[in-house]
Amino acid sequence: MMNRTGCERVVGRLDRFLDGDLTATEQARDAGHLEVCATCARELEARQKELARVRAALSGRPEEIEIALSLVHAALEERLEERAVPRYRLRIVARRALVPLLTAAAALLVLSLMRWTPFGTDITTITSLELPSWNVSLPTGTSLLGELEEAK
Amino acid sequence: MDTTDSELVARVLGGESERFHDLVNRHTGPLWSTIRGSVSNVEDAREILQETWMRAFERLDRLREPGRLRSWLLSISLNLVRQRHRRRGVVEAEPNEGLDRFPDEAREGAAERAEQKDEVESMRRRIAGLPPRQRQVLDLRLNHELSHAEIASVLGISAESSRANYYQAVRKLRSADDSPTTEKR
Ligand SMILES: [Zn+2]
Repeated sequence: MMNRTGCERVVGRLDRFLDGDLTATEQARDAGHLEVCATCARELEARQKELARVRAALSGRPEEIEIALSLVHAALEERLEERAVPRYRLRIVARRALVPLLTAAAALLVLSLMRWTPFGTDITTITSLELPSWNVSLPTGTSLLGELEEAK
Repeated sequence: MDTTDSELVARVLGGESERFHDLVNRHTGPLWSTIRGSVSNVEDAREILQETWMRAFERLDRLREPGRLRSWLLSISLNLVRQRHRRRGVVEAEPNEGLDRFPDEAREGAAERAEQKDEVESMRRRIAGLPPRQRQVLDLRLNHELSHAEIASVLGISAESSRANYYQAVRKLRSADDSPTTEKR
Protein backbone atom coordinates (compact mmCIF):
# COMPACT_ATOMS: atom_id res chain seq x y z
CA MET A 1 0.00 0.00 0.00
CA MET A 2 1.47 3.31 -1.03
CA ASN A 3 1.08 6.68 0.50
CA ARG A 4 -2.05 8.44 -0.68
CA THR A 5 -0.34 11.58 -1.92
CA GLY A 6 1.95 9.54 -4.16
CA CYS A 7 -1.06 7.78 -5.67
CA GLU A 8 -2.92 11.02 -6.11
CA ARG A 9 -0.01 12.59 -7.89
CA VAL A 10 0.51 9.62 -10.20
CA VAL A 11 -3.13 9.09 -11.08
CA GLY A 12 -3.63 12.81 -11.45
CA ARG A 13 -1.14 13.01 -14.27
CA LEU A 14 -1.42 9.52 -15.64
CA ASP A 15 -2.74 10.67 -19.01
CA ARG A 16 0.26 12.90 -19.40
CA PHE A 17 2.49 10.06 -18.29
CA LEU A 18 1.01 7.90 -21.02
CA ASP A 19 1.37 10.66 -23.54
CA GLY A 20 5.05 11.05 -22.73
CA ASP A 21 4.31 14.59 -21.74
CA LEU A 22 6.03 14.73 -18.36
CA THR A 23 9.58 15.89 -17.77
CA ALA A 24 12.17 13.13 -17.61
CA THR A 25 12.35 13.48 -13.84
CA GLU A 26 8.59 13.32 -13.36
CA GLN A 27 8.33 10.42 -15.74
CA ALA A 28 11.00 8.48 -13.88
CA ARG A 29 9.46 9.25 -10.53
CA ASP A 30 6.01 8.08 -11.57
CA ALA A 31 7.41 5.02 -13.27
CA GLY A 32 9.08 4.13 -9.99
CA HIS A 33 5.78 4.46 -8.16
CA LEU A 34 3.92 2.41 -10.75
CA GLU A 35 6.38 -0.38 -10.34
CA VAL A 36 5.59 -0.83 -6.69
CA CYS A 37 1.97 0.28 -6.41
CA ALA A 38 -0.52 -2.29 -7.62
CA THR A 39 -3.48 0.09 -7.42
CA CYS A 40 -1.92 2.66 -9.69
CA ALA A 41 -0.52 -0.04 -11.95
CA ARG A 42 -4.03 -1.38 -12.42
CA GLU A 43 -5.27 2.06 -13.33
CA LEU A 44 -2.42 2.42 -15.80
CA GLU A 45 -3.30 -0.84 -17.44
CA ALA A 46 -6.97 0.12 -17.73
CA ARG A 47 -6.06 3.38 -19.41
CA GLN A 48 -3.68 1.68 -21.79
CA LYS A 49 -6.43 -0.67 -22.82
CA GLU A 50 -8.76 2.23 -23.25
CA LEU A 51 -6.28 3.98 -25.52
CA ALA A 52 -5.89 0.83 -27.55
CA ARG A 53 -9.66 0.76 -28.04
CA VAL A 54 -9.68 4.39 -29.10
CA ARG A 55 -6.92 3.67 -31.59
CA ALA A 56 -8.82 0.74 -32.99
CA ALA A 57 -11.93 2.85 -33.33
CA LEU A 58 -10.03 5.65 -35.01
CA SER A 59 -8.50 3.45 -37.64
CA GLY A 60 -10.64 3.05 -40.70
CA ARG A 61 -12.56 -0.01 -41.73
CA PRO A 62 -10.20 -2.42 -43.44
CA GLU A 63 -12.64 -3.13 -46.29
CA GLU A 64 -12.90 0.56 -47.03
CA ILE A 65 -9.19 1.12 -46.83
CA GLU A 66 -8.54 -1.70 -49.21
CA ILE A 67 -10.80 -0.23 -51.87
CA ALA A 68 -9.42 3.25 -51.39
CA LEU A 69 -5.90 1.90 -51.58
CA SER A 70 -6.46 0.08 -54.82
CA LEU A 71 -7.91 3.22 -56.39
CA VAL A 72 -4.89 5.23 -55.38
CA HIS A 73 -2.48 2.64 -56.71
CA ALA A 74 -4.30 2.54 -60.02
CA ALA A 75 -4.28 6.32 -60.36
CA LEU A 76 -0.62 6.40 -59.47
CA GLU A 77 0.19 3.72 -61.98
CA GLU A 78 -1.46 5.80 -64.65
CA ARG A 79 0.50 8.85 -63.63
CA LEU A 80 3.72 6.89 -63.64
CA GLU A 81 3.08 5.65 -67.14
CA GLU A 82 2.46 9.16 -68.38
CA ARG A 83 5.73 10.17 -66.91
CA ALA A 84 7.62 7.22 -68.28
CA VAL A 85 10.38 7.60 -70.81
CA PRO A 86 8.95 9.10 -73.98
CA ARG A 87 8.54 6.84 -76.94
CA TYR A 88 10.36 7.65 -80.11
CA ARG A 89 9.54 7.44 -83.72
CA LEU A 90 12.12 7.09 -86.39
CA ARG A 91 11.31 9.01 -89.50
CA ILE A 92 13.13 7.06 -92.08
CA VAL A 93 15.10 8.94 -94.60
CA ALA A 94 17.13 6.15 -96.03
CA ARG A 95 17.34 2.43 -96.05
CA ARG A 96 20.29 0.14 -96.06
CA ALA A 97 23.60 1.48 -95.03
CA LEU A 98 24.15 4.41 -97.27
CA VAL A 99 26.54 7.23 -96.90
CA PRO A 100 26.22 8.44 -93.31
CA LEU A 101 24.19 11.58 -93.41
CA LEU A 102 24.70 15.01 -92.08
CA THR A 103 22.38 16.15 -89.34
CA ALA A 104 23.32 15.82 -85.77
CA ALA A 105 19.77 14.88 -85.04
CA ALA A 106 20.03 11.99 -87.40
CA ALA A 107 20.14 8.75 -85.65
CA LEU A 108 21.46 5.60 -87.04
CA LEU A 109 19.83 2.46 -86.01
CA VAL A 110 21.74 -0.56 -86.87
CA LEU A 111 20.62 -3.73 -85.49
CA SER A 112 21.79 -6.97 -86.62
CA LEU A 113 20.48 -10.45 -86.61
CA MET A 114 17.09 -11.90 -86.57
CA ARG A 115 14.23 -11.37 -88.75
CA TRP A 116 12.34 -8.16 -88.86
CA THR A 117 8.73 -8.76 -88.16
CA PRO A 118 6.69 -5.72 -87.16
CA PHE A 119 4.01 -5.04 -89.73
CA GLY A 120 5.05 -8.27 -91.36
CA THR A 121 6.37 -6.19 -94.19
CA ASP A 122 9.24 -5.69 -96.31
CA ILE A 123 11.51 -3.11 -94.86
CA THR A 124 11.74 -1.12 -98.02
CA THR A 125 8.18 0.09 -97.71
CA ILE A 126 8.32 1.51 -94.20
CA THR A 127 8.52 5.24 -93.86
CA SER A 128 8.10 5.62 -90.21
CA LEU A 129 8.83 3.32 -87.39
CA GLU A 130 7.68 3.53 -83.84
CA LEU A 131 10.26 2.24 -81.46
CA PRO A 132 8.86 0.32 -78.56
CA SER A 133 12.31 0.16 -77.05
CA TRP A 134 15.86 0.56 -78.08
CA ASN A 135 16.05 -2.97 -79.21
CA VAL A 136 14.76 -3.27 -82.70
CA SER A 137 15.90 -6.10 -84.82
CA LEU A 138 16.50 -5.77 -88.50
CA PRO A 139 17.48 -8.39 -91.00
CA THR A 140 21.17 -8.98 -91.20
CA GLY A 141 23.01 -6.46 -93.21
CA THR A 142 20.28 -3.85 -93.25
CA SER A 143 20.15 -0.55 -91.57
CA LEU A 144 17.78 2.35 -91.33
CA LEU A 145 18.73 5.95 -91.32
CA GLY A 146 16.39 8.59 -90.06
CA GLU A 147 15.50 11.21 -87.56
CA LEU A 148 14.29 10.43 -84.11
CA GLU A 149 11.37 12.34 -82.86
CA GLU A 150 9.23 11.91 -79.79
CA ALA A 151 6.14 9.93 -80.50
CA LYS A 152 3.08 11.43 -78.92
CA MET B 1 10.38 0.12 -39.73
CA ASP B 2 13.16 -0.74 -42.13
CA THR B 3 13.08 2.13 -44.59
CA THR B 4 12.28 5.59 -43.33
CA ASP B 5 10.00 8.01 -45.09
CA SER B 6 12.96 10.23 -45.80
CA GLU B 7 14.80 7.42 -47.52
CA LEU B 8 11.79 6.51 -49.60
CA VAL B 9 11.20 10.11 -50.57
CA ALA B 10 14.83 10.45 -51.59
CA ARG B 11 14.60 7.36 -53.74
CA VAL B 12 11.46 8.54 -55.46
CA LEU B 13 13.04 11.89 -56.17
CA GLY B 14 16.17 10.13 -57.33
CA GLY B 15 14.21 8.51 -60.11
CA GLU B 16 12.71 5.41 -58.54
CA SER B 17 9.21 6.71 -58.94
CA GLU B 18 7.63 3.33 -58.36
CA ARG B 19 8.76 3.52 -54.74
CA PHE B 20 5.96 6.01 -54.30
CA HIS B 21 3.63 3.00 -54.08
CA ASP B 22 5.40 2.10 -50.84
CA LEU B 23 4.62 5.48 -49.38
CA VAL B 24 1.01 5.03 -50.40
CA ASN B 25 0.85 1.66 -48.69
CA ARG B 26 2.42 3.01 -45.60
CA HIS B 27 0.27 6.06 -45.04
CA THR B 28 -3.10 5.49 -46.62
CA GLY B 29 -4.70 3.80 -43.60
CA PRO B 30 -4.58 6.71 -41.17
CA LEU B 31 -5.16 9.22 -43.94
CA TRP B 32 -8.23 7.41 -45.07
CA SER B 33 -9.88 7.38 -41.68
CA THR B 34 -9.21 11.05 -41.19
CA ILE B 35 -10.65 11.98 -44.57
CA ARG B 36 -13.50 9.56 -44.19
CA GLY B 37 -14.31 11.17 -40.88
CA SER B 38 -14.45 14.62 -42.39
CA VAL B 39 -16.75 14.20 -45.34
CA SER B 40 -20.15 12.71 -45.47
CA ASN B 41 -19.85 10.27 -48.30
CA VAL B 42 -17.47 7.57 -49.33
CA GLU B 43 -17.13 8.81 -52.89
CA ASP B 44 -15.95 12.22 -51.74
CA ALA B 45 -13.52 10.61 -49.36
CA ARG B 46 -12.08 8.47 -52.13
CA GLU B 47 -11.65 11.43 -54.41
CA ILE B 48 -9.95 13.45 -51.75
CA LEU B 49 -7.64 10.62 -50.87
CA GLN B 50 -6.65 10.17 -54.49
CA GLU B 51 -6.18 13.85 -55.02
CA THR B 52 -4.04 14.02 -51.90
CA TRP B 53 -1.69 11.39 -53.20
CA MET B 54 -1.54 12.78 -56.70
CA ARG B 55 -0.69 16.22 -55.38
CA ALA B 56 1.90 14.74 -53.09
CA PHE B 57 3.38 12.91 -56.03
CA GLU B 58 3.56 16.01 -58.17
CA ARG B 59 4.94 18.20 -55.43
CA LEU B 60 7.20 15.81 -53.62
CA ASP B 61 10.26 17.84 -54.51
CA ARG B 62 8.81 20.76 -52.60
CA LEU B 63 8.62 18.84 -49.35
CA ARG B 64 11.37 20.46 -47.33
CA GLU B 65 11.54 17.99 -44.47
CA PRO B 66 10.83 14.51 -45.76
CA GLY B 67 10.71 13.28 -42.17
CA ARG B 68 7.50 15.23 -41.80
CA LEU B 69 5.78 13.54 -44.66
CA ARG B 70 2.84 12.48 -42.52
CA SER B 71 1.89 15.93 -41.41
CA TRP B 72 2.45 17.22 -44.91
CA LEU B 73 0.04 14.66 -46.33
CA LEU B 74 -2.47 15.52 -43.66
CA SER B 75 -2.26 19.19 -44.44
CA ILE B 76 -2.92 18.48 -48.08
CA SER B 77 -5.96 16.34 -47.29
CA LEU B 78 -7.39 18.70 -44.73
CA ASN B 79 -7.08 21.52 -47.24
CA LEU B 80 -8.92 19.49 -49.82
CA VAL B 81 -11.59 18.68 -47.26
CA ARG B 82 -11.97 22.37 -46.48
CA GLN B 83 -12.22 23.25 -50.14
CA ARG B 84 -14.90 20.69 -50.63
CA HIS B 85 -16.88 21.92 -47.67
CA ARG B 86 -16.63 25.44 -48.92
CA ARG B 87 -17.84 24.42 -52.32
CA ARG B 88 -20.75 22.56 -50.81
CA GLY B 89 -21.45 25.31 -48.34
CA VAL B 90 -20.80 23.09 -45.37
CA VAL B 91 -19.81 24.96 -42.25
CA GLU B 92 -16.40 23.86 -41.28
CA ALA B 93 -16.11 21.45 -38.39
CA GLU B 94 -19.84 21.15 -38.35
CA PRO B 95 -20.77 19.33 -35.18
CA ASN B 96 -22.69 16.62 -36.95
CA GLU B 97 -20.08 15.86 -39.44
CA GLY B 98 -18.41 13.28 -37.27
CA LEU B 99 -21.50 11.20 -37.00
CA ASP B 100 -21.15 10.36 -40.65
CA ARG B 101 -17.74 9.05 -40.07
CA PHE B 102 -18.99 5.68 -39.11
CA PRO B 103 -22.07 5.07 -41.13
CA ASP B 104 -24.24 2.10 -40.43
CA GLU B 105 -22.61 -1.02 -41.36
CA ALA B 106 -25.57 -3.30 -41.43
CA ARG B 107 -24.36 -4.82 -44.68
CA GLU B 108 -22.26 -7.88 -45.43
CA GLY B 109 -19.95 -9.32 -42.89
CA ALA B 110 -21.54 -7.56 -39.98
CA ALA B 111 -21.88 -10.76 -38.06
CA GLU B 112 -18.31 -11.76 -37.64
CA ARG B 113 -16.26 -11.06 -34.59
CA ALA B 114 -19.33 -9.51 -33.15
CA GLU B 115 -18.26 -8.71 -29.65
CA GLN B 116 -14.93 -7.15 -30.48
CA LYS B 117 -16.58 -5.27 -33.24
CA ASP B 118 -19.33 -4.03 -30.99
CA GLU B 119 -16.77 -2.63 -28.68
CA VAL B 120 -15.04 -0.79 -31.48
CA GLU B 121 -18.36 0.40 -32.83
CA SER B 122 -19.48 1.76 -29.53
CA MET B 123 -16.16 3.53 -29.15
CA ARG B 124 -16.64 4.98 -32.63
CA ARG B 125 -19.96 6.36 -31.59
CA ARG B 126 -18.49 7.88 -28.49
CA ILE B 127 -15.71 9.48 -30.47
CA ALA B 128 -18.24 10.80 -32.93
CA GLY B 129 -19.96 12.51 -30.05
CA LEU B 130 -16.89 14.55 -29.11
CA PRO B 131 -16.62 18.19 -30.13
CA PRO B 132 -14.98 18.43 -33.58
CA ARG B 133 -11.72 19.95 -32.42
CA GLN B 134 -11.22 17.31 -29.75
CA ARG B 135 -12.01 14.60 -32.22
CA GLN B 136 -9.56 16.00 -34.70
CA VAL B 137 -6.74 16.29 -32.20
CA LEU B 138 -7.42 12.80 -30.87
CA ASP B 139 -7.23 11.45 -34.40
CA LEU B 140 -3.98 13.20 -35.21
CA ARG B 141 -2.41 12.15 -31.95
CA LEU B 142 -3.44 8.50 -31.78
CA ASN B 143 -4.12 7.58 -35.35
CA HIS B 144 -1.35 9.55 -37.02
CA GLU B 145 0.91 9.66 -34.00
CA LEU B 146 1.80 13.27 -34.56
CA SER B 147 3.39 15.21 -31.74
CA HIS B 148 1.45 18.08 -30.23
CA ALA B 149 3.81 20.46 -32.01
CA GLU B 150 3.02 18.83 -35.33
CA ILE B 151 -0.69 18.81 -34.61
CA ALA B 152 -0.42 22.48 -33.78
CA SER B 153 1.11 23.29 -37.12
CA VAL B 154 -1.29 21.13 -39.10
CA LEU B 155 -4.36 22.62 -37.45
CA GLY B 156 -3.06 26.11 -36.96
CA ILE B 157 -3.52 26.05 -33.19
CA SER B 158 -1.04 26.15 -30.34
CA ALA B 159 0.63 23.04 -28.96
CA GLU B 160 -0.95 23.85 -25.62
CA SER B 161 -4.37 23.88 -27.17
CA SER B 162 -3.59 20.57 -28.82
CA ARG B 163 -2.69 19.07 -25.45
CA ALA B 164 -5.73 20.50 -23.77
CA ASN B 165 -8.06 19.18 -26.43
CA TYR B 166 -6.42 15.81 -26.36
CA TYR B 167 -6.67 15.35 -22.60
CA GLN B 168 -10.24 16.55 -22.56
CA ALA B 169 -11.12 14.05 -25.23
CA VAL B 170 -9.44 11.21 -23.41
CA ARG B 171 -11.15 12.14 -20.17
CA LYS B 172 -14.53 12.39 -21.80
CA LEU B 173 -14.22 9.04 -23.45
CA ARG B 174 -13.20 7.52 -20.17
CA SER B 175 -16.08 8.93 -18.20
CA ALA B 176 -18.53 7.84 -20.86
CA ASP B 177 -16.95 4.46 -20.60
CA ASP B 178 -16.88 4.15 -16.84
CA SER B 179 -19.94 2.15 -16.10
CA PRO B 180 -19.78 -0.99 -18.20
CA THR B 181 -16.29 -1.39 -19.61
CA THR B 182 -14.14 -0.68 -16.62
CA GLU B 183 -16.00 -3.30 -14.63
CA LYS B 184 -15.61 -5.76 -17.44
CA ARG B 185 -11.88 -5.29 -16.81
ZN1 LIG C 1 -0.26 4.34 -6.21
